[in-house]
This record gives sequence, C-alpha cells and structure tokens, in this order.
Amino acid sequence: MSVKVKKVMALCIMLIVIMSTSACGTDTSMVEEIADKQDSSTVQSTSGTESELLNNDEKSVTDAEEVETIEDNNSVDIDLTVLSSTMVYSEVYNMMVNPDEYMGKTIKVIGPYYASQLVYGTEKYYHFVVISDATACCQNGIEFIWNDNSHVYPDEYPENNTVIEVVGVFSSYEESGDTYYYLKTDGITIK
Amino acid sequence: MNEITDTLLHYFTFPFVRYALIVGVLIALCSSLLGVTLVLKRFSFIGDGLSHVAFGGMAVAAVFGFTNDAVIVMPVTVISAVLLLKSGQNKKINGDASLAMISVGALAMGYLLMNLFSKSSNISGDVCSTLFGSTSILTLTMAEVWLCVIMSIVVVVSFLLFYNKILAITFDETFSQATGTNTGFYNLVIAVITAIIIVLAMNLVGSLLISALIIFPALSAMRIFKNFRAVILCSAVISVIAAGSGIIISILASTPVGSTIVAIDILVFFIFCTIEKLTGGIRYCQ
Repeated sequence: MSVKVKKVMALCIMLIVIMSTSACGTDTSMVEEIADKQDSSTVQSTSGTESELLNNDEKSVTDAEEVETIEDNNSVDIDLTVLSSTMVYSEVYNMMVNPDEYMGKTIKVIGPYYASQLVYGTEKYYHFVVISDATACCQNGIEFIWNDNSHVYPDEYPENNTVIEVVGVFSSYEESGDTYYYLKTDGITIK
Repeated sequence: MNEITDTLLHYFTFPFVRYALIVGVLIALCSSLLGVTLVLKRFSFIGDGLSHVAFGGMAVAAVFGFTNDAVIVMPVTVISAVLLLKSGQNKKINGDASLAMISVGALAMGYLLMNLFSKSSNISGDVCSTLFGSTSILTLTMAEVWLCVIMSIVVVVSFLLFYNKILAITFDETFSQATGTNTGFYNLVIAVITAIIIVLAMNLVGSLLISALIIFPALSAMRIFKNFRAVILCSAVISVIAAGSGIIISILASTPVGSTIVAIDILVFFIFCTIEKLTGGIRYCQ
C-alpha cells in the first residue's frame, strides 16, 4: 500500500470520527429536553380552562374530585415521550399497521390535542393526539377515549393544539363495520 | 456520550430501526455499485427520470388499490429504463430530451391521478412521503425487507458476474461492440439493475433525491481514485457509511432520513474534493 493511500485512509478515518462525534452532539439538547419534560411536575386534567391549569403555580393536583388519574411510569409498556419525533411517528405508524402486536399494552404519548367531529351533523366528537413526522408532511392521530367518553366536550377538554400527555391501554372498537384503534385512558395531562 | 449510546441501544430494540438499517445499507451498496457506471456513461440523470416514472407507477397502483405497489412500479420502471437507454440512439428525439419527456410526464400524470382518484384522506402527505422519503424506510413491512434483500442480492451478483463486460462497455462501447461483445444485452442488464435500484431507493430517500444516492458517492470516489475497481470500492464504502450514519443521525436528531443521508453524501464530496486538492488524487494502474 503506497504512502499516499495510507495518508488518505488516515484522513478519512479521522473525518468519520469527527463527523460521528459532532452528530451525536446535536442530540444532547434533545435528550436533555425530553428528560426535562419527564422531570417536570405534571398538571392533571381538570374541568377548568387551559390557562387556569397553567396558572397553577405548584403544578400539582388541584382538586381531588376533578383529578382523573395519576400516571405511573412503571406500568407503561411503550413510552413514546422519550423517543425522537422520527421514532415516534414510525412507532405509531407500526401501531396502526400491526395493531395486534400492541393490543392491551399501556402506551404513553405526548402531542398536540385535536378534536374532530368526523360525521357532521352528529353530536359525537373524536379526540386525538397528533403525531407528525420530521418533514411535517405526514401526520398520524392516535384517538383516545377518556373515561368512556363521560366527559363533556368542549368544557372539560383542552383547546385544539394544546400539548397533552395521554397514558392509555391500546384497544379497539367497532363502528359502522370498521375497526378503530384507540387509547383507553383515565386521564390526560396538559404539558 | 453514555446517554447517547443508551438512547441508540434503546432505539435498536425496535425492529423497524434494525430493518431500516439493513435495507438502507443494502440500497446504498447497490446504488453505489451502479453509480460509477452511470456517471461514466453520462447517465447521471437517469435515476431522477426513472424515479419520476416510479412515482407515476405508484400513483397508478394506489388508484387501483394495490397493497403491494411493487407489482406495478417495478415492471413500469424496468420498461421505461429499457426505452430510455434504447432511445439514446433515436435520431428524432435525442437521449436527454426523451429522458426529460418521460420524467416530467410521469410525474405530472402521477400527481394528477393521485388527486383525481386517490381514496387517501392525506394526498399531500402521500405525495410528500413519496417525493422525499419521509420516514418510509422506518415503516417497512417484513415482506418489503425481504424483497429488498433478495433484489440487492440479485443486483450485487449480476454486477459481479458481468463486471468485466460492464467495465468494457462503460469505457468504450463501440470498441466492445467491434470485438464481439453483445453491448445491447449488457446495456439491458444495466437498465434493469438501475430500475430495480430506483424502486428500492424510493423507500430510503424518496424519488426526488435518488440521483444524489447514485452520483455523489461515485463522484466523491473519483476525486481521489482513478482506477475503476478502486473507485467502485471507495464509492461503496462512502455510500454505506453515509446511509448508515444518516439513518442513525435522523432517528437521534429527528431529521428527515433522505435529506440527512444526502447531506452527508454532499459533505463527503466536499471533503474528498479537499483531499484531492491536498494530495492530487491517487493514480495507479492495475
């Protein structure tokens, strides 16, 4: 092997090492951000408005009667809140493509809330956590049903685009001959 | 650093990440093998043209409700590749004009069909995903992974089997023809392999970025090495490293997979240009 070839190879190896190190560095802030989110105290869903919830200084449980549930991280099978957005989108896509593999598992997800009246003229609203991919051109919505839809929309739900966290059991229901998948949850947390 | 490693190890517990890395590396390897030949034969832009044809095929498959769109996309792209390479000798419409014609024609028809007949509720999302790859590589089914593995083996074996002939017709097709080589057959082999790679690579980088996957590793390797075999080997190494690191960076930093891979390819190209300036490249004969 000539000296020139050796020189080039050494240069290439050095550059690859530098590139991989700098690439890893980019992620640190993201991981820290996620960790901060995890550490931050949670606001449990109440019947108040979003601003009222956020104004709560202690960011803790405010009214025992209105509190729906306290999340337990240990019982979560799939925690989507610790994944990057690319990973979350891919995992949610797989949930929709291979739902049987996720049935009965407890899933924790964070994202903007979106309510939709899928069939116009009816009173029924469907509630989703929206998951976008990295290019923001593709979106998946995970439907959630909060306490068997016993809560009143819009009074007891946050406004659209409010970032919420939902911990729920992946389940399915039949409607108009089609199968739909959703998270059965006891409570939502505004982030 | 440990945190990053832990995160990465955690991500690798997801099957779709492992599939993405396997498929990504295989596609990168195949595209780099053929990239050198295509660049030297001045067919750099054929990848772009064929990917638009594949997009049109995908739209037709979606309209007819095929769950496995490769059934339509693969034959349509192969036929187009053969037609494009044949039309190079057509005196009425020359090579680049026919390439441009088929390319934009297929793209426009594909988008039109998707808008008119698609049953999807998110047409813009589907189009964006097809054009830029989005997270397609991370949402592969097991059947798609196997299809990719088998096709990659076919491409690599074909390339190794016909290496000497491909080398000959790449540098001097007329001379090869004069010495009795069936250049038409080998051009057909190149066309078919190119079409297969294009269809596979659409999952990795999307149809608009496929050309980058074909030309950048080859051009980077050519900055330093001046020998056909060395250029191919170097091109394969660059392509595989760029694809692997691109996928890993994109899942860690939440960047689009295709664009990240192409960005790394561009970076490597400029690095190799700099190395060429410093060392003057490596010229040697076999």
